[in-house]
Amino acid sequence: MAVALPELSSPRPPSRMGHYAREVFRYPVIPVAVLVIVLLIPALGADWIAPYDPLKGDMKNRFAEPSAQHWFGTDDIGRDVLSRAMHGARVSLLVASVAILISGIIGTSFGIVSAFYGGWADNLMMRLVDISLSLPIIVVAIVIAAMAGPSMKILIAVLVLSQWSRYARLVRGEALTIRAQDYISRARVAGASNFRIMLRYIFPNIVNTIVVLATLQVGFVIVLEATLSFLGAGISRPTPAWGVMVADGRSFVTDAWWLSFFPGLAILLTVLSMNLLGDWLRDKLDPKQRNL
Amino acid sequence: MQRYIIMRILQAILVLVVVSVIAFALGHAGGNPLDAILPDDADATVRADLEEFWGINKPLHEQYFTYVWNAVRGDFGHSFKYPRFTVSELIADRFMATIQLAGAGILVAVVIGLPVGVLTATYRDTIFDWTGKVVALLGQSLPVFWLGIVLMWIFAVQLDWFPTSGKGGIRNLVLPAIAIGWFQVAAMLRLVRSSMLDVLDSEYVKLARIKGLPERKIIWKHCLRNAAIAPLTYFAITLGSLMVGSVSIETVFQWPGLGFLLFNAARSSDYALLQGIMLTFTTIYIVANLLVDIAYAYLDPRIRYT
Repeated sequence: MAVALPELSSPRPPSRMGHYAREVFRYPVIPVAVLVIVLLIPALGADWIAPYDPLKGDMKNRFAEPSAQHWFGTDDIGRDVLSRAMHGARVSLLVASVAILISGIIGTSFGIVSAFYGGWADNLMMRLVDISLSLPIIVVAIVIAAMAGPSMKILIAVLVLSQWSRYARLVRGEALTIRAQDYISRARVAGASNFRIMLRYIFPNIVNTIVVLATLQVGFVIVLEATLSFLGAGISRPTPAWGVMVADGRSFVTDAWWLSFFPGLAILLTVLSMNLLGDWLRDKLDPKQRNL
Repeated sequence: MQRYIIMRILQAILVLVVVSVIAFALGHAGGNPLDAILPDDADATVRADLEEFWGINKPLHEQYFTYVWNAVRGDFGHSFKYPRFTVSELIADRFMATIQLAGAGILVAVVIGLPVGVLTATYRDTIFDWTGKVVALLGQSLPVFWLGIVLMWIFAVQLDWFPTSGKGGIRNLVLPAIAIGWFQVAAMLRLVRSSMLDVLDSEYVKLARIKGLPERKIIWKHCLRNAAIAPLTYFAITLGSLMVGSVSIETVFQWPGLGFLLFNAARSSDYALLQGIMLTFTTIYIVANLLVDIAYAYLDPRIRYT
């Protein structure tokens, strides 16, 4: 349980600006608000609140500058960029949550089992983790997508492939310390099965760590997804995804800056807020993982 | 020590084998590549000749061993898209451009990240520190490919200071280098800041202060020299990941390096070329990591026993 410690006196009194900034950042109000506005509301409500059809173009209204009708302008075939960005939020949220959920489950089970059994199994499993961590994932993903054809399933599989090992390594480290605790041997004496020990005695003690890592990973996974989509190895057209929208806007950067700018800004705001939220959560739930 | 290094090398080889199997398998997962490039009514003898030329008519394991043996000797076969060139020629042609970009990115990171990192550590809770924190945070959160496009729009399209894309003089290098170095700036900054803070706390800095040395000298000479070790070793790792990270920036700026070649190979389903680049990138990445681990093991004995 966290105990509030009195502030240690610092050699230099904090400046006024620092003081105000700290007040605002005590609770992650701004990040959460940004996440709700940029990611959550559009992702859940795009069908109702998006002003236009994200897939239907209007050839008479191509490259319209941002205006009252089209807040973010229109693209090369007259589609409303705002509506597309809203639907893009859904893709980002969906892909990131599914990928993180799956890699979290795989990685956590892997890490606990590896730490629990130890010995050669642990060795073998950690070599697998090493292999997974030493793959240059962007390159691998591009090659896989080029061979198999880009699709959302392949995208998620690639993201899981690159992420599960981070959970596995972290969880194993935590689980190793917990396994050495007295209450584990007592549980064993009391007749608890291996499975029960892992699920009821080890897992609850590392939930915080996993939640913190997962939050910090959301931003990373969203950027990775966008990068892969940007490179043509992720979401395929015409589905509106932020990375794809930035990629499509690149060719028109001289004439229509808004095509790339707004979807990229959405990525930036989402990831920035997610990272701030993750940092805050880490300090609250799991202060010992400062170097995550 | 020797045991650790041998284990580590074996492990690196194992990863390479895994990657080569992936590369090889992927080449065959898409069916016969000749179906993609030959018209349906192609002459049977032409087909047989081509199969012979690319060795697709042999059993799989034989193909794999031939493939690995050739790859080890730097022969990745012929590109499907540019049949007159071998994959190795294409890769060698683009290799230096990628190295150049990655090097420029590191330069940007050191030139910006190091001094700003020192300033943020020295002037804690001031405007420097807050600026530094914002830069570090943005570095983690900015999608680099988007940063590249924004930089291009501001400095190449609006201000017309730099060319939009392609390779040429030093002016072509500026924008891609900033874009690719941005993330590293943030990483560098954080590392320098935290190790500076440690050093500033140490006894010998107190002694230097007691001795009456000017603060400027204490910080930039005594502290920085000790604090810079960790961040600088970090850059060996970075070179590997920078090269891999160059894929999106090269694509944005149409920089004729390996990353852009990979992007184009993927678009034209040139799988011999794809496999070649994948193996090249992975090898660089793994060898860089291997060297770093070995260097660390020499520097920090604790690592060998974990």
